[in-house]
Amino acid sequence: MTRRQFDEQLAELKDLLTEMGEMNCRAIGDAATALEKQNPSLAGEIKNIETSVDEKEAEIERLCLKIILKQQPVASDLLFVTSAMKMVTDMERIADQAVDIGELVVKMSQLPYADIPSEIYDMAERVKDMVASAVESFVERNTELAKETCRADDAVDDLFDAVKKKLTHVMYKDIDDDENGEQALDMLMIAKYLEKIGDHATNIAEWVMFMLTGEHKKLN
Amino acid sequence: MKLNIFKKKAKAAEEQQELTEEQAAEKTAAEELAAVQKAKAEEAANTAAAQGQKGASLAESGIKAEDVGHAFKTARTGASLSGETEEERPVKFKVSDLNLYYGKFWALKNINMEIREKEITAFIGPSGCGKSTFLKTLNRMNDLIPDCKITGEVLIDGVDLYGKVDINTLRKRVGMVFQKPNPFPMSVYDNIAYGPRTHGIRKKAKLDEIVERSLRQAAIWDELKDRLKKSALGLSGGQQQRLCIARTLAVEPEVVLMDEPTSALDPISTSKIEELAQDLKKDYTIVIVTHNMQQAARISDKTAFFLLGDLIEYGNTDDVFNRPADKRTEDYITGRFG
Repeated sequence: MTRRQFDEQLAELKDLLTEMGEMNCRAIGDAATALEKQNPSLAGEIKNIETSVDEKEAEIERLCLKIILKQQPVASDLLFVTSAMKMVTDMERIADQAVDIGELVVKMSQLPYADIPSEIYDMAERVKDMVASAVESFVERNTELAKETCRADDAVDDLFDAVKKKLTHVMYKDIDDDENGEQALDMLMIAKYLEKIGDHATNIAEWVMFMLTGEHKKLN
Repeated sequence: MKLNIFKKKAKAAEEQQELTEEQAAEKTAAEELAAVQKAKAEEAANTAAAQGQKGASLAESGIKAEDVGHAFKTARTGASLSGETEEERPVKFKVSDLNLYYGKFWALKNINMEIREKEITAFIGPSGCGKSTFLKTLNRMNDLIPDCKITGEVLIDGVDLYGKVDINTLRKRVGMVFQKPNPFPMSVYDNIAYGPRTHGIRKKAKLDEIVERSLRQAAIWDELKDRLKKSALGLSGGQQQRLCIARTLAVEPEVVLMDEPTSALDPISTSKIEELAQDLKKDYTIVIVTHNMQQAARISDKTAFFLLGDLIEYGNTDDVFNRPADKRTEDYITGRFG
């Protein structure tokens, strides 16, 4: 018994997920760079990546349904297809949030940054790495890397708290300065988006663990 | 809107409650009936002994008393089962170090397994892996095959099935349904009444009751109630198979063995048999051999995977189909075997 067509479909699913993961990394990478370099044109381009991510999500969902319908997967195949369907939701959200960050970067490009907590750049760098390692743990079927990805979210949460604290201080300090106050609020939104991206990367890693072990646990 | 939902829920809960009461009443009735039957059978045995009848009929009466006694015990266990989890169901068959040879061919190799009461246990594996052979060891159908040698132990309710067991009694307790429906060339009614008649039931009212009960249990009463006197050979394949299941149930077995019961049936008949199996496990222990892995996944509680006479993996169906422990099971169920 062999299942050539089935194996080809599963390989295609893996390729599509990997491509979608790479798009995610690109989106979050561009968002991080655009934020740091105050580059509105790069920030604007994230929207295009997000459109491709949405298309990829729909393509993956169609393929998963086709596999379930035609191949009736069980055991590791079923875990793979199920986790793929769950993972794409998180991946799609990551791209959305990268776009949200991009839009704020465009908005904030009119004025130079004032009193920006440096931790926010660190956050962007870390969540970019988290998304990359979540995707890699999927491609390499690597449980250790998946666990490591989940653990990395703690540092991102700590950084978010630090950013929040500093921005609160900025807002109190510049209470009569509308421009600085608004910039601080926008920065806080960006930090929150980054923090959410970290959560989605954790979710992806948890689905990788589910795919490899059959157990879905909250790892962070 | 919300209120309606709550009302519906409350109503469903009420119905559930009624059902449970009804079930409880049925159980009590079954226990009473079993007690009465046991007393009657014992009385018959005593009378037979007093009259100095032939050994065979004495033995038969004795067996009946034991049988009914067992049914009584089962009914009581059933009542106490309601709150128990799957793992706590009593063991029906305990198989230890079972080996089976057809001449020089080693067909089953050191099988150890416990089959639990009132569950559906599915045997899967490629052709020639020993699953049907193993099924047949559970009611000694292999006795009929020349050169068949069996070592090891198969216990049913703790009693050695290959020891001093009356084979007719055993086959009454452990019924079997085959791949190809095999109704007798007689009327629907006589097909069902055949077993009970051979076990000495003659009264028409009693037979009528058994026929109706069995056909109802096999979910085919409504289709056949107006055709009881017609030949069973005129039924469709799916109806014939459910008739055969009804015929098996007519002698009130404890276990129903099914050897690929749906492989000759269309999808609709197949789902009817599958639903039937789910219903029957409330009262019977069911062991099913199937080539249809989706069927095993759909209906069974436990799944056993056989390969070349070895029992490779045996466990909860959800585990076997979600995360099999053995690579060979994984390869087989995902269709990458061989």
